[in-house]
Amino acid sequence: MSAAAPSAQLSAFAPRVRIRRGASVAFMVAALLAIAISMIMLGALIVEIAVDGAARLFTDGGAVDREARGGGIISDLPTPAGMGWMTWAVPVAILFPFVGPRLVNALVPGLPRLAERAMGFIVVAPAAIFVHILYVRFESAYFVEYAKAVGIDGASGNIFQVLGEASGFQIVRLLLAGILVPLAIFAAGWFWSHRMRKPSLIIPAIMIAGWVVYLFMDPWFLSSFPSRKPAEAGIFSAVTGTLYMMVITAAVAFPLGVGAAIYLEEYARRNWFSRMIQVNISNLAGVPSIIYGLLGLQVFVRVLEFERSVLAGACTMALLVMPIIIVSAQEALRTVPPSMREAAYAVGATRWQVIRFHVLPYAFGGMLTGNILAMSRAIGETAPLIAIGALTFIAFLADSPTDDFTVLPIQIFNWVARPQSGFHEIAASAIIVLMVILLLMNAAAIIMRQRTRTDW
Amino acid sequence: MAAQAPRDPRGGPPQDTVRSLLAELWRDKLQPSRPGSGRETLTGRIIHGALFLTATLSAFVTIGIVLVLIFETVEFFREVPFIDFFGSTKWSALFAEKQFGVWALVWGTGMIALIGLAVAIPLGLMAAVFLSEYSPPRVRAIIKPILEILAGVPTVVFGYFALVSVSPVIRDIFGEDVGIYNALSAGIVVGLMIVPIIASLSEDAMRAVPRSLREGAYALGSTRMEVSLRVVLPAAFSGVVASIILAASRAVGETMAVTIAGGGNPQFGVNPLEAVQTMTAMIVQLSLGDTPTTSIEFKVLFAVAMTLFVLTLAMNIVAQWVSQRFREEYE
Amino acid sequence: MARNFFTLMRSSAPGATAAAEPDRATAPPPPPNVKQDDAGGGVHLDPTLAAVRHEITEAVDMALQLRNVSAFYGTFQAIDRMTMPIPQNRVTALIGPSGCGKSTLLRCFNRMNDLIPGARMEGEIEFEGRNLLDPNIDAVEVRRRIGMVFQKPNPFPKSIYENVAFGARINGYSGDMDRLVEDALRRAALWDEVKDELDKSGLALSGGQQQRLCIARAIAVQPEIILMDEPASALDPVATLKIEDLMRELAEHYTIVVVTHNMQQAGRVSDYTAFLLAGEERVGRLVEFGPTQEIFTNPLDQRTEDYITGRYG
Repeated sequence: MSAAAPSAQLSAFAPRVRIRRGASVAFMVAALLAIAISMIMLGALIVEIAVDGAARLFTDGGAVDREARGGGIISDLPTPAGMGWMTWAVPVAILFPFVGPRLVNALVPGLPRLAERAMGFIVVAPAAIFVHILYVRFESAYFVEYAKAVGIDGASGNIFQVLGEASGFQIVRLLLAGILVPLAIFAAGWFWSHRMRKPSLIIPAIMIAGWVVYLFMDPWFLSSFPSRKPAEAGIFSAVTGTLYMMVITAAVAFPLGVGAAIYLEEYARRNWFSRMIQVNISNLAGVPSIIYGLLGLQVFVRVLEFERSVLAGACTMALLVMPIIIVSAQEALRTVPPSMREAAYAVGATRWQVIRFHVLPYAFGGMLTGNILAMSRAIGETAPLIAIGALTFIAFLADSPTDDFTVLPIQIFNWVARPQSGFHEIAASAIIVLMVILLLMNAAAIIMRQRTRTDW
Repeated sequence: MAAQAPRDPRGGPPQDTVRSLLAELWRDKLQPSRPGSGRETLTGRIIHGALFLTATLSAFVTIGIVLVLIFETVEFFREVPFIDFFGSTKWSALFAEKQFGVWALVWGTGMIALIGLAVAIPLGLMAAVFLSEYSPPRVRAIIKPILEILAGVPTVVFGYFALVSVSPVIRDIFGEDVGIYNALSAGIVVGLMIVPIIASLSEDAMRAVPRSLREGAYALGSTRMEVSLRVVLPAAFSGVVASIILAASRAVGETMAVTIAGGGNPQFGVNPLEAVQTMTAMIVQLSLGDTPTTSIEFKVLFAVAMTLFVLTLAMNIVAQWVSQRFREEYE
Repeated sequence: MARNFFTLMRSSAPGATAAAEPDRATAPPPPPNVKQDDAGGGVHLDPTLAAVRHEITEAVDMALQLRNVSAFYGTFQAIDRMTMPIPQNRVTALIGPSGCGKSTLLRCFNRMNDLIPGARMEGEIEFEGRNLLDPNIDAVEVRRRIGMVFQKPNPFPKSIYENVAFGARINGYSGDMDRLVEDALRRAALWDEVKDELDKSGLALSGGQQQRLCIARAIAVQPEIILMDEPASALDPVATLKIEDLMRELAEHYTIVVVTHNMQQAGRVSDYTAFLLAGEERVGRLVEFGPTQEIFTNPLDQRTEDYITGRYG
């Protein structure tokens, strides 16, 4: 049979190419349709939220008595007791490791590095405290001034009216918060290293853009506390709570996650232990977030007695996002070519020196990107914070890490869960704010990823 | 001095001027190597230890979760017999007459997850096939980030969407008898939420299929659909199945959307147009009220969470096992 | 199938003489560029295109007839206006150094290049009186009739049986599938080795067996031409020998075009040989075509001789 001529069986074939071609095209159309459905749903989601929520962001609900609230636009900006410290603490914290030692080095050259750092701190810290005292004096003077001032009236309170009626102190304060802080961050990046010069523009640019948007919008929504009446309710405590918690979460999760990644990639032998840790991390990534909430409730709230505070929430969130940070940091470390490590070892560096001076600088961009993505996951998480008991009605600002707090998603959940449609609308407004923050973070991550890629 | 010994072992002056210059520069500067100091310096060892601790933290997190859950669960079963929890389909934890039939919650969870998968599997797999087999790179570069956006939307936003957009449409279709809170709308948005997981992981698995396999099939006269469905999909089967299991696990653990849109009615019915309650939604419900930590409601929280944890953990492990065990090795 | 005796093998290369057969009148008119060749006489013709073509003395049908075939990847031209025949039921070897366009040319024959984004082909490949490169010709149909075996064995991750049956299934084969599989495996000289374990995964076979499985897979859809892209380059000498024997046997029923970088292999298995070479700008061109015997013993082009005697890298 093997000798049968090829044509003998040809008649048994019925290739039906045209039909199969048609089926293939139909299949492609169906696949495109599947993508289109997903996109249309996403589009519907965005449009729905934008339509519901945009109005409230740019106008007040019509029910707010501005005179009675006794405030214009600026009074609703962070108060010295609440967020004021951030205005000086953030730039100082960023500046002091870079500027301080340089200053000392310029004045007294040739000191050991440790001494340079210590003295740098001594130089910068008093300066920072002095700036703070000045700032608080401005603030209190501003309040005295403001008490005499008349609140802004009119349908919309945007920047031009404010500037028209604002006192000198108000303008100083605007400048300080809106321009000096971004400028300080930019300067820190500029001095850090030449590679940071362009990227250091990004954060200040985003901040300034944020301020501008903030000032052009009706500030009532962003700067009011929750209320029983939808028209008067705002998300001030939620936004500040979210930002506060994010800062602490990042501060806890980033070192822990990166440390674990460094251990697993650079130190651990390939034995059962590191395999177990690795499997464990991927399993932790799949644990439902609400279970982390229960863990946080028992460990941080009850055993460690953090109470239902920012700190408890941030620690819970840190555990939740740690697997993400570890995995992305591991990926970043794996991109470092082995030849780079070998070169460093070959000149007699110890393992830690190799990691500190060669591996980490190379992988840092990728780690930071992973961190931002982890934070963007944390910022939208609601369930674990509900489990640890974050409150939804917070009519004050968290001033220390042990205060009660609320965050944006919880505020949104609280409003969505109410039957009145007025609350649904402001929930949509809050969702817009949340999504804008998310979008900015993702954009920052993408930009950072591209920058680090081109730099090396 | 100990440092001088290794500097010039031969004793005589170096011949080469450069070398002698270097030796001069290094004189007394080289750290003497202490015998028996080990491979690492003290700093190195401290850092090593600290890094080791951070790595073990993840193990402690797991242990912590298990301990916390077990502790309160054991407390719960001291008061409520095992059979009442696993042998009943009636749940009324907040009423005077308490019943703890967990199957009502598991059923609600399963129903929403099944609706979600019914939405997500066709959409996700078709999207994956399109991205991996049909789409030109430029189109793919547009679609993938959009799917990632979908994956990044917070779940509470999906809850809002279900309540405000999807439920009214369902009521338009099925009549006004349907409540605004129902399993179908919650299931649909959960499905939407897990589409990116299935699409992205399946696409990764499909793209990992070597090009030579596709070429082999094309060379036999296959159309693109035949290559996709009969060669690439079977070859990537383990990855695809794993992605579906992972997505199902995510759907089971999903909390906010089902809390907002699913309603709070633990029941054991088959009608997807009625309100249901999932395990996660129940945990949220009990957490929102200020439940005293000694009450039975507080303890049952952990018993339910334990059930949820075991369920999702099992699914994740199965997903890992499938992707390892049935992976085809090419070369 | 139209019988087109292809005898015109003249080019403008110095030293080659025109050999016009007396029965030229019955042959189809020569392709345009051949006429150009003749008219040019090496004077105003692009000298890089001037390929030496030996006379084909035996009476043989032509399975394919290439005329001015060029291929581009984006803006990069991979092969430049190749004109040559592929004799039927013979083994034709494409030889040449790396990057000379052998594989690209091979992948033109069954339109595999269509799958590469940005790939473009010009010219004409006549197959049964039609131009394979015509966009109206369905590439799927072409690929069933012109099978292909790849450099590295690429069996599907399915059973041996399913590997062989796959092509037949998708092409709507309605006959006895078991017989077809057995027949194909027998022809690929693999039947005796695997007949008891047809359910085993194709990936479980050794490299040489995998490659023969791929040949069986290609045969099972009853192609007229089998293209082989360095089929033995990933195999050990024993497996290579088996594949070569197989090629000789298969040539009784099929037209085979084989790309190889192995001179001895080309000499052992092929009846006809085409020597391709890429110039400075990496564009592949045909240098010499003819019976393998002629090419190896009596190359007319200096570059061919250099290559065959190993003076090229």
